[in-house]
Amino acid sequence: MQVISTPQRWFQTFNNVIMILLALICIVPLLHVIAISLSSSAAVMANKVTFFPIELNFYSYTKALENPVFLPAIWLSVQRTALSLGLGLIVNCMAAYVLSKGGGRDGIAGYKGFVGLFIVAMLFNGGLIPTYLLVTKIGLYNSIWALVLPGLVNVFHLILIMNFFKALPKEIEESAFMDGANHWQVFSRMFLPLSLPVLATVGLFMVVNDWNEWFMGSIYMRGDNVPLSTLLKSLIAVPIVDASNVNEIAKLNNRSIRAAQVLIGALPILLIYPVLQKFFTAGIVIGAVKE
Amino acid sequence: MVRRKDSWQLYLMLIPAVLVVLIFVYMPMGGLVMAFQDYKPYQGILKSEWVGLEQFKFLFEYPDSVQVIWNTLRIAMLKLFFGFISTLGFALLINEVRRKALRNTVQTFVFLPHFLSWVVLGGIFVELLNPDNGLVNLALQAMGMKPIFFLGDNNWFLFTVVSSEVWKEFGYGSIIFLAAIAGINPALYEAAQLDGAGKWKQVLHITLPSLIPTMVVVLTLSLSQVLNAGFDQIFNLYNPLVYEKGDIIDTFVYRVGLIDGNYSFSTAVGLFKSIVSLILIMGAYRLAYKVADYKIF
Repeated sequence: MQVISTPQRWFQTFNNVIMILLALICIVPLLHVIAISLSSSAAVMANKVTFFPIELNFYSYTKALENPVFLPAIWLSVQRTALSLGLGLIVNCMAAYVLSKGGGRDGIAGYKGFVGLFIVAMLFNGGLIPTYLLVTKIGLYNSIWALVLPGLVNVFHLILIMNFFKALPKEIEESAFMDGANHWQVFSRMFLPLSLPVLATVGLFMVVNDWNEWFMGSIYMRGDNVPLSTLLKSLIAVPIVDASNVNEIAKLNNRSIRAAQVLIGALPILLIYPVLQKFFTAGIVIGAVKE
Repeated sequence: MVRRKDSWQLYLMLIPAVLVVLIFVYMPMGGLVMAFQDYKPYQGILKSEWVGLEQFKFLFEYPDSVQVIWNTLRIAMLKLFFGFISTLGFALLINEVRRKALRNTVQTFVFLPHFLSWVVLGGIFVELLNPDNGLVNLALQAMGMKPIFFLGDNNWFLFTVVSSEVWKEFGYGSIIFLAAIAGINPALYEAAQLDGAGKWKQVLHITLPSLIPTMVVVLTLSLSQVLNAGFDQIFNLYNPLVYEKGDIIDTFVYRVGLIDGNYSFSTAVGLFKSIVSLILIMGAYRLAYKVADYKIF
C-alpha cells in the first residue's frame, strides 16, 4: 500500500481541477454552438444563449436542410468517404503487408526501391498547380474520383499498418504457409482479422480526413456539385471586410442556421469519434513506438 | 525457409499503391518545369517560353513575398514553441491523474478538437469571437474590457491563429508523450521512492530524462515544418483585413496561382518551399536518428 502524503494529495486535487478545466475549454465552444443552433433566433439575437438552448426548437436544422444544395452535398460526401475508406484500406493494407516482409528471402526483390518510392512521395510532390493540371487533364474534373484517387495512398497510414503487421508473431504465418496457404490467404484470413485495432485507427483517420477535406472539393468540383465540407466553407466563412460589415452579416445570415450548418457538418465525426476513440490510442501507440 | 514460389502475389498486392503514387505524385513533378517557364495555358508546358530563374528572382524582389515568407516563419515558430510546451505539459499532468474514469473522460474531450475540421472550427470561432456579440467578447465586456476583433485585427490575428492551433492539438499531440511515459521502467520510480524522492523529483530525474529521445524526435521533425504554417487553418480564419500578418506561403501560392492565374510564379514559390522543406526534413530525420535512434522503416 502506497502512502500518499498531504502535499501530494493537494497536488492531485489541484491537478484534477486543472484537467477538468482543460476538458471544458475543449468542448465549451462546441456546446455554445449547439445551444445557439437549438435556440430561437430572438434569444440568440438578444445574446441570451450561453451553453443551454433557450426556447428549444429544431427550426434552424430544417431550414438548413431545406437549402436545395445541402442534401446532395451530404450524399456526395458520404459516397466519397465510403469509397476512400474501402479502397484506401485495401490498397494501403496490401502494400503494408508486402513492405512488412522486408527484402531478403521472405519479401520482394527491389524492396529498398519501393520503400524509396513511397518515402519520396511522402516528402515531395509536384505542388498545387501541376497536380491540379494533371487531375483535370486526365479527365477527372468534376468527378468523384478526383476526390478519391489523388489521396488514396497515405504513406503515414501505410507505415502505421506496416508496423502493426511487423509486430504480429511470425509463427502464425509460418504455420499457415506450412499448411499450404498462399500470401493472399495469409493476408486476408490472418493478418487483417488480427489487425482490427490498427484498422479501426486508420479507418477513423481516413473517415475524418475525407469527411473534413474541403480544398480538393473546391478546386476539382463544379460549384453545384461539391462535398459538404466545401459547401460549408462557402456558406460559413463569409469574408469579414470590416467591423461594421460583421453586424450586417450577423443580421443577414441567421446565426442559428449557420450554427446548425456547422453542426450538421461535424455530426458524423461527433458520432463515430466516441466509438472508435478507445481503439486509436492503442493503435497509434503500437504503430508509432517501436522497441 | 526457401524463397516462396508465390512471391509474385506480393508484387500484385503492391501494384495498386505504386500506380496511385506514380500517377498522382510523380507525374505532377514533371510539371515543376513550369517554374522555369513563362507558362501560358494555351501553349502548354511544351511550347511555353523558358525564362530560367526569372520567377525565383521575382520571388525575392516582390515585397509581398518577403512579407509572406516572414509571416510563415513567425506563425510556424510560435506554433511550434507553444505547441511543444502545451503538449508536453499536458502529458505530464494527465499522467498524474489517478482516477481512471476522470483520466479517460478528460482525454476523450481534449482529443476531440483534433478531429473537427477547420471549416467547422472556423464557423465556431467566427461565432465565438465576433466583436459585437460573440461569447468571448461578451465575457470580456462583462469584465469591463473592450471587445477585441480577434479575426480582423492584424495584431490579434497572430494570437488567434497560434492559440486556436494550440487549443486544437495539445490533447492529441500528447499521445506520443503518454506512450513514451508508459514505456518507462516502473522499477526506476520504485527505486527513487525508496531513496525518498517525491513526485516532483521523480518527474525531474526520471520522467523528463526518459522523455528526451521522444522530445528530440518531436522537436526536430516539427522543425522541418517551419514553412508549413497551416494552410487549412489560415484559409478558414483569415480575410482581407489580416492579409498583412496572416498571408502565408501556401495561401499566397493559392491566391497568386489559381485565383490570379499566375501558374509559373506560383509553382516557383511552391517549389522553393518544397525544396527548403525537403532539406529541413532530411536534416531533421538524420538528427533524430543520430540523437534518438529514430527510424521510420
